[in-house]
Amino acid sequence: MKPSMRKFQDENDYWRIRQFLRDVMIANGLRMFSWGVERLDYLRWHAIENRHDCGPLQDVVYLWETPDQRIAAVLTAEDAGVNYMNIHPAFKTNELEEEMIVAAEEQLSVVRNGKQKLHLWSDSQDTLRQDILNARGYVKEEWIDSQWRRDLTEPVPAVPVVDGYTIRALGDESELTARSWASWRGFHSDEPDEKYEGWEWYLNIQRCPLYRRDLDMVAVTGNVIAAFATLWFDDVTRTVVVEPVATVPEHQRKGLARACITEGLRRAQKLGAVRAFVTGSNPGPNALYASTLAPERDLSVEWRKEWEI
Amino acid sequence: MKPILRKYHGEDVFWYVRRFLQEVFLLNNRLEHSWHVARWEYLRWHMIENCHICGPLEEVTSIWETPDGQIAAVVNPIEPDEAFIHIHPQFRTADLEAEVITHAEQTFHTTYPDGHRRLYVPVDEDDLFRKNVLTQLGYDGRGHSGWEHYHDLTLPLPEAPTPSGYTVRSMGDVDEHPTRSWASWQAFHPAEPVENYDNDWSWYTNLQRCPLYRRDLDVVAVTPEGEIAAFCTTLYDDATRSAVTKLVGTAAPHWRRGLGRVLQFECFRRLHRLGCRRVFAKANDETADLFYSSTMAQRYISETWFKDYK
Repeated sequence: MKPSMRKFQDENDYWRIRQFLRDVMIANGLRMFSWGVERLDYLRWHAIENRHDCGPLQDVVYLWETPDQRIAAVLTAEDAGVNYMNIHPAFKTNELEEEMIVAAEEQLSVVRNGKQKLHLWSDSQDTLRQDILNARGYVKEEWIDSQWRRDLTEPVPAVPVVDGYTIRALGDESELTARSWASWRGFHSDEPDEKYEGWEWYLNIQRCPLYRRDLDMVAVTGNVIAAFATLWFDDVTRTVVVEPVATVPEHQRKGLARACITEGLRRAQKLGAVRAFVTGSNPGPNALYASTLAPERDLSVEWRKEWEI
Repeated sequence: MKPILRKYHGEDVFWYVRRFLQEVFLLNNRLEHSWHVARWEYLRWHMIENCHICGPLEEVTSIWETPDGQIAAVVNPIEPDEAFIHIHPQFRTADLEAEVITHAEQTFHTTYPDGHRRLYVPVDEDDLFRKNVLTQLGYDGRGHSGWEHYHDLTLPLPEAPTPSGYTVRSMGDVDEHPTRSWASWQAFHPAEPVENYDNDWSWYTNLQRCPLYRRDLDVVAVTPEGEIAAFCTTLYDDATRSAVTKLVGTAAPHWRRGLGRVLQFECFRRLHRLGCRRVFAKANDETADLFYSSTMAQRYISETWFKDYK
């Protein structure tokens, strides 16, 4: 039963892809060879609705379905020209991989500096995909995502918190301004504050179906949110993903991010999570994640192809 | 492949049954012929952990599995003498239903002073299949009926303005558990003397351990003094895009102001934004039935049949 491609159509597709991603996560033995469901939610409510990184789902998502309407694979953009291939292991073949890559080149590549350009991700152990990418003229980028993971089989010890700070769940809407400002300071500390665009984007984050405030951890001192770690618990796969994590510069080096992550993991474990993930690409966060989660990780490698228009 | 009875063992089985209930619910076109997964969580974290209606799930739940490990049926108590049966539609046969019910007779029961026993089994009013099985097994008693309500969130919701003097918002942090617990007492125990209230709000922490619990769907109406006057707690399952309103209540001093209705519609609006398509509630008395009839479009009767035996 050869799967055939079609474009994302409607709201029903969104929910079917969510179930597909959950099935794939379980079929892959709880490894992130495809997206977790939270990443699709995040694409929709944050990358598209807030940041306008790419067009609506109708423009940037493609499905491969069997004749009996079972989803075999989903191709998603996560930024303009940056794409992710999600394939159910039961359908992973050379032919389907190649077909998806060709579709990405034809449908989702972008023009940069007068050239057509496309980025695709591949797990570092996925030789099938890498052989195809090599053969089609892709080159490895230096950008590598470390997908750290920790099995929550043993109790997660609490981390001591430095004096003057409290680790707790995010408050109600009145605290969104502080949360948003912490995000700005945590991720854009080298930018002028005039560029700050307000807090309303956080309402969209909270629209993600997996969002729950009791897993949106913050480190607070006075009325200031000094650090945060948002966790996404998927009760179907029993996995929890930590994303994003940041500390405001003047509150760094106090172990606040570690404390937020750890408290989030403890809460997720109580809710039934059996495995936690966090993805890092820079040395600082990777050191934190390696020590907070575990040395176990998969590597996801970015590949790039450029060609003449 | 005849399903085989096996005992519930270990934490993984809780999650295995959850998955089974989600699958069955979708196969049954989002109707509660078997439980919504929210009720399974509520049984564990509230009815057992808080109310102690029976022993732990390991002691009171039985599962029928095919040789390849697929769950075909589950039975668990709702009350010490009332069994709820969940059956996968692909495996539904009169033999399996009878086997499950007969097993429940041996494991859930109330023994009366004269030595006879009684088991209650719920059956939907139009479920002739189960009624036939129950009849053949000698279930000739009729207990108290309940009303199952559900509502599809496809149509616009009516406006329900908040009465002046109240604020509608999500439940706060743990420091709000005492007032939330007190509101619950005042709502559900209006005729009891205040001295009976045990001032113990730790039960609410257990309720929040339900994996489906989220504070933004635990909506409360608050007075200017910070007292919780009414509440509506809804558990949303994004895997099936459905929800159950588990607790709606108004503290007695705040009755007859439409607060319950306001809160339930606010929950409906929030659910709709999260992608929910259908929401359920169960009424066990006429007051609750009237309330849900005013907020939800669909309703059917859940009968309770019983059998006395030695």
